[in-house]
Amino acid sequence: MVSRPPDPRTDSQLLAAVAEGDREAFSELYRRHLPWLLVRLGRRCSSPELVDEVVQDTFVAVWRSAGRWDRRGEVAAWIWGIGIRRLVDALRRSRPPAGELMEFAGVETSAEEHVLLAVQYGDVGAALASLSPELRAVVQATVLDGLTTREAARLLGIPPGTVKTRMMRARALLRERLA
Amino acid sequence: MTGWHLNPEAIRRYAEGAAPMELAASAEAHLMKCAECRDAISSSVDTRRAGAIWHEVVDRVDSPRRSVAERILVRLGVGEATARLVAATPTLRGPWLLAVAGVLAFAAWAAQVDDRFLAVFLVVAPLGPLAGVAVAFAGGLDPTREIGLATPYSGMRLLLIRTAAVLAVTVPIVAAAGLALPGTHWPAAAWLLPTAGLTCAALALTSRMTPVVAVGVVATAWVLATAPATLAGRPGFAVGAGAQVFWLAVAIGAGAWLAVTRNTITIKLGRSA
Repeated sequence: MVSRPPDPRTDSQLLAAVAEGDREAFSELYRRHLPWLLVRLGRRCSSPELVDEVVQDTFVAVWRSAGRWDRRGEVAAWIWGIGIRRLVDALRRSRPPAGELMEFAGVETSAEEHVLLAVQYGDVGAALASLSPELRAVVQATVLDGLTTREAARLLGIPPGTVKTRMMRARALLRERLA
Repeated sequence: MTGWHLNPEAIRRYAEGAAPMELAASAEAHLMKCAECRDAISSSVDTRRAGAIWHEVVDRVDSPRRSVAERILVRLGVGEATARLVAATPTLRGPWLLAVAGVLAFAAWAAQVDDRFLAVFLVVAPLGPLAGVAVAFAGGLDPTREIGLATPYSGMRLLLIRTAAVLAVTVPIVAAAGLALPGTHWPAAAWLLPTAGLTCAALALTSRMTPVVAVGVVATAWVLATAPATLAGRPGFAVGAGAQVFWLAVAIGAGAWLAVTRNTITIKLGRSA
C-alpha cells in the first residue's frame, strides 16, 4: 500500500467532487466514512453479510446521488440517513427474528461502570437506561437514528401508532425522572 | 460538548460492541460531527472486509446504468437479463419508431383525402410491425448479435421476447394512426388479426430461414395477395370477415406449432460471422 499524503479537502468538498465524477474523492470519502458506518450499522443488525450488503448499497447510492445533497448539516449525517434506510429496507425484506434487533439494548454494565457513566453522561443516561427495552428501542430509532415514525415502525415491526404512543410515554417518563 | 472527544478506550469498547447504550448513543452522535474520532475508529475495522466491500462498490459504480426502458421492465417483473436484451432491440430506438409513425401518419392522412388510400393503409399497416420484427434481428443493427450467437441460449426465447417487445411498441403506433382514419372505426382494427397471423407465420418460418428473410417472404406474399384486389376497390378480400377468420386460424396454427416444436428446432438468428 503506497502511503499518500492525507487529502486536505473537507467532506463537503469531497462530496461536491464526487458529484462531478471524481473517483479519488469518492475513494477518500469511503476511507473516511466506512469504519464508523460499519460499526454503527453492525450494532443494529447481527448479520455481517447483510451489513456488508447494506454498506455497499449505501456507497453506491452516495456515488449516484451525490449531487442531491442539500449542503445542510454534516455529510456523515447524510450518509447515515441513506445507510439506516437501506438497513430498514433490507431487514424488512429478510425478516430476521425480532430478537436480533434488540441485541444492542441488553448489554450488562457493572456497578462501577454505572457510577462512572452517571458522572460522565449525567442523569440523561441513567434515565434512558431505566426505560424498558421497547421504549428505549423507539427512542433510539427516532431520536438517535433520525428515522421518521413510519420508518421506525417498519424497522421495529410495530404499527406507527404504537411508535407514537411509546415515544409519548418515553418522553413523559424521562421528564419525570429528570425533573 | 465543545472540545469533548471520545477517549481511545471508549472508542475501542464502542467498536467492539461492548459499550452500554448511553456510551454508544453519545459516541454515535459525536462521530457524526467529529472527523478526528472517525479517523480514530478506522483502525478497528478489518481491512480485508473494507477492501472487499470497496471492490463490490466499484464494480457496481462502473457497470453501465440501466436505461429507463430497462428499469420499467424490471419493475414490471421481467428478469434483469431479459430486460437488457429487450432494451437493446434495434427496433425500439427512437428514430426508427418515429419513422414508422411518420409513414403511417402520412398513410392515415392520405386516407382522409382519398378513399382508395384507406385500402392502401390496410395493406400497409401490417408491414409496420413486420418490418419492426425484421429490423430487430437485422445483423447489422443488433448490438447484441455476436454475443447472442455465442450463448447457449434458446434462440426461440430471444425471438419471442423480441417479437413481443416489438409488437407491443409498434402495434399501438399503427393503431393510433388507424384511429385517424375517416369513417367508422372497424378499419382501425381490421389489420390486427392479419398482423398477428403474418407475424406468427413469419416466426414459424424462422426454423427454415433467418428472421429477416422469413419476414420478407411473408410480407411479399401478403402484398402480392392483397394489393391487386384492394387497389381494385375490393378491400374485403384482404380484411373482410373471411380474411379475419383465416388469419386468426393462421395465428393459432402457427402459434401452436411453435409451442409444440419449441424445444426441437433451432432458430437461425443470422448468418454467423
